Amino acid sequence: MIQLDSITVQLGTQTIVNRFSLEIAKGDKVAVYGESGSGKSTLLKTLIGMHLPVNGRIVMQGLDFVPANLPTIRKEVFYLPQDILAQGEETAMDYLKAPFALAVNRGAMFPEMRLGELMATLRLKAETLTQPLGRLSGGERKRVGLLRGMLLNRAIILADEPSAGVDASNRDVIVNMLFRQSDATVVAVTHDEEFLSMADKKVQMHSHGMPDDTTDAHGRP
Amino acid sequence: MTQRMPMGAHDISNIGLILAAASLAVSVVVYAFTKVGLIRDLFISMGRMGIQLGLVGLYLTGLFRLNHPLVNIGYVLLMMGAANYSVLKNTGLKQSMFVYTFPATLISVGAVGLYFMTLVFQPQPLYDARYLIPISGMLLGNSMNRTIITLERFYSSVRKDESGYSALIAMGATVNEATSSNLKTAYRAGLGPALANLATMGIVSLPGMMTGQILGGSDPSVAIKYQVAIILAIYVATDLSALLCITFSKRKGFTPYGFLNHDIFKGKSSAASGST
Repeated sequence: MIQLDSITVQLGTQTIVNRFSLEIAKGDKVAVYGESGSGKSTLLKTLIGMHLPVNGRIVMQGLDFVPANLPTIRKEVFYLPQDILAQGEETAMDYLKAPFALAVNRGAMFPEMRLGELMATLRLKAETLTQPLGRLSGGERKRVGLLRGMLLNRAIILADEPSAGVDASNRDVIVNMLFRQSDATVVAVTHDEEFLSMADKKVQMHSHGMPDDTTDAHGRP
Repeated sequence: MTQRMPMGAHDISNIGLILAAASLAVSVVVYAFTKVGLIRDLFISMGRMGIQLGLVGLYLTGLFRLNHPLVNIGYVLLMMGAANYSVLKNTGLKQSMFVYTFPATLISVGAVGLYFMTLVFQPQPLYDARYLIPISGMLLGNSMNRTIITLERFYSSVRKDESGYSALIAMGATVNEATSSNLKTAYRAGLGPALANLATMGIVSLPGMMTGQILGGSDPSVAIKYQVAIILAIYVATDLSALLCITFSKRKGFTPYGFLNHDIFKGKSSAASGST
């Protein structure tokens, strides 16, 4: 599904990710962890094309991750950023519906039917939807962000600290939601104990360009 | 169609100019009293203005006497260059963006200027410096102010919610789709002062050009016709210039992968952006 072949990513002159390889199969749940500044977010941002590797190759869904293939690749990607900020008076419902207005989702209807069920699972109250995003708590915003991805129902979910800064009970709600999507390939930057214990693959990042470790669910390299 | 001015405005004597400068004493007293400490800046700015306008007076006299089409057009291009330099300086974008903003100004001010010169003002000859230079100057000056606000707001608003923008791009939005709300915000911000200015036009202030023409001896009705035409020209040229500046600058402002290109911003390298 996602293949990283000896990629090196630099920010300015600093090497953040060094000759890093990883193979992710369809449906895998991958946890990327490591101390702060070790390049976790950089790795995730490289998977969406925000940072570009100076060396190596990225293949997604069998296609080279190059601008010409982006329209095809991105049809199946959902990226959940670390911070979900409010744009003016945009309500949570506006935020959820916005992607459905994009050309890439032409033909896809906003799944009203699944909305209620997903909201119940994520423990979001109905009145949350009519609130401006800016008035929601950090934890609610995180769950609304994830809800957006669940409604889009994409094959690849890339999540940057999906449960950080959320209270314990809602953390579990978020993690369980990510694991419930058995077909979806999930790559999450996370320190969440539960996510790490359930993950199919754990990737530990090290700072200062040291080689990075990958272990499978049984701790084997 | 135009009435030649029967006479120029009554000249200002040298003593008159000195007395005009003496009026600054009021500002000096105000600054001293309020202790804002801007007296030095006041003299520097006013001195620079005097020298700049003195020089303009000298070379405009020469330019009008020469009235050569290539020289006139060359001068307009020079003004355009200076306007673009100022736009980039005030929007926090690197001067290398000049290659995108200059063509935008050239097309918008050039096309609107040409339309108004050939069809509305119709000077003889068409390239007459007396018309071409001040009219281009007004179009440029106004486009510049509008573009500064619009361009600055566009990129700063994308930057402000870069994670939200990036999320849309990552899920397959085009740059145009993902920036549509930013374009709206930026355009409204730029349009606000322009509309406010129109609303009070003639009531609060008489436009400078009209004042000048009336002082120069023109019939107020002629002066008003010119003013209306120039306001329309300014309005269309600024609209076009703001839109084209954003459209052209997007080529450099966003990476081939659709993300905001931090290299366009002054004083901050891409390495410094975002968390690792």
